[in-house]
Amino acid sequence: MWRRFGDEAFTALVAVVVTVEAGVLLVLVLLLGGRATGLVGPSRVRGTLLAAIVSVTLGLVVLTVYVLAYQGISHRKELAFERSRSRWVGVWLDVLYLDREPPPPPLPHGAVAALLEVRETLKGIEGARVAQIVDRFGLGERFARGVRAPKISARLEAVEALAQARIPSALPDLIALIADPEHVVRVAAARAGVRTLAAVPPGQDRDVGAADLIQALEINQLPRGVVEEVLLLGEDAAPQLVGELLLRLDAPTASLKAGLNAAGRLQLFTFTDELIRFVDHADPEIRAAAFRAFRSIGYLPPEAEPAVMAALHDPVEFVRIHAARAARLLHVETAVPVLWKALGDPSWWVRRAAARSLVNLGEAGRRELAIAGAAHPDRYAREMASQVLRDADALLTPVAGVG
Amino acid sequence: MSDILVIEDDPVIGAILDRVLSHAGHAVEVVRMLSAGREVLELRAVDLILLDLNLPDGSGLEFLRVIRQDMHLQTPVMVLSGMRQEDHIVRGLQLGADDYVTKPFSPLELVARVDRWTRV
Repeated sequence: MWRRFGDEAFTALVAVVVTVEAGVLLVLVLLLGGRATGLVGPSRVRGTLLAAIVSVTLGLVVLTVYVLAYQGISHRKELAFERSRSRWVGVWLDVLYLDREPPPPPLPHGAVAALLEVRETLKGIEGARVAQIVDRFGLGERFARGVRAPKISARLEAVEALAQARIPSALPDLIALIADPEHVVRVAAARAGVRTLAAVPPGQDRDVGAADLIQALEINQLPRGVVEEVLLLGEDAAPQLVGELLLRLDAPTASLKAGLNAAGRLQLFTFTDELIRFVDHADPEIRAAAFRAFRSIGYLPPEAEPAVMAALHDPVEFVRIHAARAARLLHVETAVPVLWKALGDPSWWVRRAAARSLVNLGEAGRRELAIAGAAHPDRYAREMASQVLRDADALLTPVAGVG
Repeated sequence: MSDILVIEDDPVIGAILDRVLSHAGHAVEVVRMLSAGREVLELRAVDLILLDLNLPDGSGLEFLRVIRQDMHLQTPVMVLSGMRQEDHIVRGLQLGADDYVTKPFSPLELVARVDRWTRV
């Protein structure tokens, strides 16, 4: 629930109380002015002052009573709602697992909430059966109408319900809502859209939906963080979404960064060949994101190996850092000499990344790091090698009394 | 029939897990707090623990560390997690979780995984 009941009543009550208080204070000010000029007697001022104090007190009492009553009633309503929802979850599970008939329409609020929660939790065959029940009660159409409501809270309620229901037919409405004038609605619609897309069966409909969703995110310029979150929420549809970003030649830079980060975080192995295209991109953030993605996926295609070695000499520090981290994916014979050189990088962060990559190469890398700690020509490289080796040994050595 | 302890604070997910696993022939006990889970484990052995990561009285990861390192239990543990908690999943596996299930989950897949860990 985005907002609890009683907003209008509370606003009206506060407006009445403040208006009355302001009126009383205005009269008091006028009387005090009259008293100062001798036009009004002291007894009338005292009477009005007393009336002002009483009215302020009454106003505070009225507001306090309202807030306390509101909290009490809200609490009781929420408890009743939770009980109803819990009971209805049992009813829907009976329908699923005991083949009971669904109850006749119309469904009470608790039944709808419980059905959506069950739908949100289940996928697979049971999830599809719940989706059929949602469809049977016409809930998709009801929520789709809600996304066109004039009130923001009503639109958000409808979007949240659609995100739970994941009804494929609602996807166009959700994509259209990404152009909503309110930012909060746009973000909610994007999240609901991707969760709905995940429920669309693989095939042309999902591909078209992914393209439309990505286009809507780009046209409406949602922040990169939101785009990345949407990609991560894509579940089974994530490859289509990431593909829409990485396979297009005209994708904006922000979209590319989001796509590369998502490819890495979701470990989408199928995109490793596409990532090669970005290792020498003009934007250093794109280059760094490509190396980061390789490292997260844990695989470096042979065609990308020269780029990793070259990027260890990139003029931009954070590109060298990510290249040094990705270098652990090179063959040991190739990785050891280039990481040895990177240990002498002017940047502390690159030296550290290179040393850690050597540790991750296994015995050969640790041996090289030990030699570097004693014999690297660069003093800072020697210090970093020794420190990272000590850290790695500390992690491997059990501490007495632990474990 | 296997004895499964579910530690999950969301009543809806708890009820669904209870029904799905009971329907598959397992004995299920659902508790909403880590403290209650620990009490159950101190009283009796179970065949599998289904553990949510975010619970009202603490982190499921810390609980995992406690049952592995302090209580020395080798009971299989399946972590329940949202897709966005990939770092938690990795940490959970490092701390000794045997498997993980992401939400939303397929009941058929869940039962298959549970059967795999509870098979004698």
